[in-house]
Amino acid sequence: MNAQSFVSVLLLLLLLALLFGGVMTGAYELSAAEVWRALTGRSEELEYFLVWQVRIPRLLLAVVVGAALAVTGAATQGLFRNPLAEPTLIGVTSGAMLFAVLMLVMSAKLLVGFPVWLQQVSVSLAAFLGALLTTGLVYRLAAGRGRLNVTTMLLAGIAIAALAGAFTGLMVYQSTESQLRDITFWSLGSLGGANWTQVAIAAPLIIIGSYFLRREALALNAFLLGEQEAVQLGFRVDRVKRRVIVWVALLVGVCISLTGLIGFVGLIIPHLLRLWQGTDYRRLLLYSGLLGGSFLLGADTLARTIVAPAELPIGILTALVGAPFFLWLLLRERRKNILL
Amino acid sequence: MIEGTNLTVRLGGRVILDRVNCTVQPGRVTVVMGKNGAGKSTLLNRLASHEVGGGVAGAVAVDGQCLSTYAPKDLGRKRAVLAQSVHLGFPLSVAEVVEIGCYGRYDELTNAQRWDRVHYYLNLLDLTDLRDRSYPTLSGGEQKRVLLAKCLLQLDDDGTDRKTNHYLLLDEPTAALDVEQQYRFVHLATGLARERGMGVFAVLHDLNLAARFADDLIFLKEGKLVAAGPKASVLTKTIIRTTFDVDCLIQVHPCADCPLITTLPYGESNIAPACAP
Repeated sequence: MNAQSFVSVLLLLLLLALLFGGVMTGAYELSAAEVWRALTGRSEELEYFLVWQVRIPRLLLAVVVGAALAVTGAATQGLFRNPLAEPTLIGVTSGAMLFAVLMLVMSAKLLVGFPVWLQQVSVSLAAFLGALLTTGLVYRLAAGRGRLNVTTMLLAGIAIAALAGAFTGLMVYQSTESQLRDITFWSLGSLGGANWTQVAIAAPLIIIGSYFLRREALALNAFLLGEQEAVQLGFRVDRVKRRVIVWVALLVGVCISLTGLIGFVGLIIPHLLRLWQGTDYRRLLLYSGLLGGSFLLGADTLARTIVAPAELPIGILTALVGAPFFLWLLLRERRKNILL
Repeated sequence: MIEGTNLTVRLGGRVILDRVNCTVQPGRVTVVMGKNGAGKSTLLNRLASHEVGGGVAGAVAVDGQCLSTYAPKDLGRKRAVLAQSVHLGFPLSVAEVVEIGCYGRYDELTNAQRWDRVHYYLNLLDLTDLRDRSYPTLSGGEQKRVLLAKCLLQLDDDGTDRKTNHYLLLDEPTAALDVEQQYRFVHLATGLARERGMGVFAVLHDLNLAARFADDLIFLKEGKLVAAGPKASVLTKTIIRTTFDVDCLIQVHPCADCPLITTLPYGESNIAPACAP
């Protein structure tokens, strides 16, 4: 077995272990035997419902969202040749936030009399639309005469994010107490509302998107040497950039629209893997998907157990667990004198 | 043969290249020289089909076919550009950097074939011991050898008997190298390219490096061609003075079969009659 399949199997085993652990733990603890009975359909109604309708969709959503955030983070860092790059930089997050907040504040007036589920769906749809619209705008600003300048895109992304942030602030200023609470919780992220419909929307898109992003692995490797280098090797760099940006916007858009803002996964997972297994994107994107899924799954399991029966917003946990660990890693590597 | 005709580049009202004609012959080393800002790198980028910014005119033909009609992948297998400096976004190992050279034909090679070719070039350039080292930790000379290995792999025919010409374009390959490394690297690059019948186009600053390793020379000044042709006919005091605004002595090299050039930037020829050319 070569090194790549060994690490993949290792990460896959970690994911499976966390999945099984995640089904067992929660406000209502289940034993391994109870979980097994529920999985094989030989248990009581309540446990069966809890496992199949509550926990499993939530765990699966955590896995695919975590995978998508880590893979898009790695791809964005490669595209911008910048260790600090995150999908946030192409405007996808700020746009989603603005539109979601807009909908949270307006839906009380706009959708009065409509059922609650429609109001929730409308927030998701608005966030998705916002993510794509802002990314499209940032892209248009940076792409002149068919050429896309990544530095311009980075700066345009920051400017558009600031602008969207200002409008978001205006909406927040106008909002009522309860809307403010909704907004705050949305911006901290949660997998609380997970159901099979969400999994059915997110999983196929994320799997297909991750597959197509991984097909750009060679181009992203060549990008590491510089854009000109990729050109002289024969890559059509503008097409590569466009494809990567489209997939990143789609994947992050769907994640944010379903779970709100979950930060830090896209930053910490790729860097951790770079330090451990090197930068080669053929491996990095694969591992990022596996480890990103595990990370968010673990964080979500913690989020719904440590203050059970209440829940912590997951965005708090990913930063709370991720940031110190990341710093420790950085300091350790600095001592070994390896540049990130 | 790479053939540039009437190459012109305008950038913000300034003419960077002004109707330059030049050729790069297979199996020969062509060196372009000139002051800073004379348009040397722009000429190289133009011949390599890189983006130069601004307005361009003139035509480049590679083996008789217009540059712009090449598919990027085919062009990538015909000519390789060794960049002046490469800063990795994130660290890669030496072997991984060299491997990037064969990305243009990634699907045509099995994993085993690909690594076989990578190791062949690592070995050829004496990099086998460094293959797992992180590229940014290497010295300047070692980094240049890694990039050369990558370029040679890019132009490799994988043992098949393709009758096609290859071109290696070197953009200031000696920048940031010490004296010994400069000679070593240019010697290595031109030697390996000659063995393989490649045409080499190099931007160099050192007159003596050029005098020693070039077959043909191109002199540029303010974007215009001063002279171009075989070394013996264009390496003259007049052309060097016109190009660089310095006087010089041209003597026979005491140990090598090439001219030795001593520049006299302070007009020493006037001060010390003994040195007068």
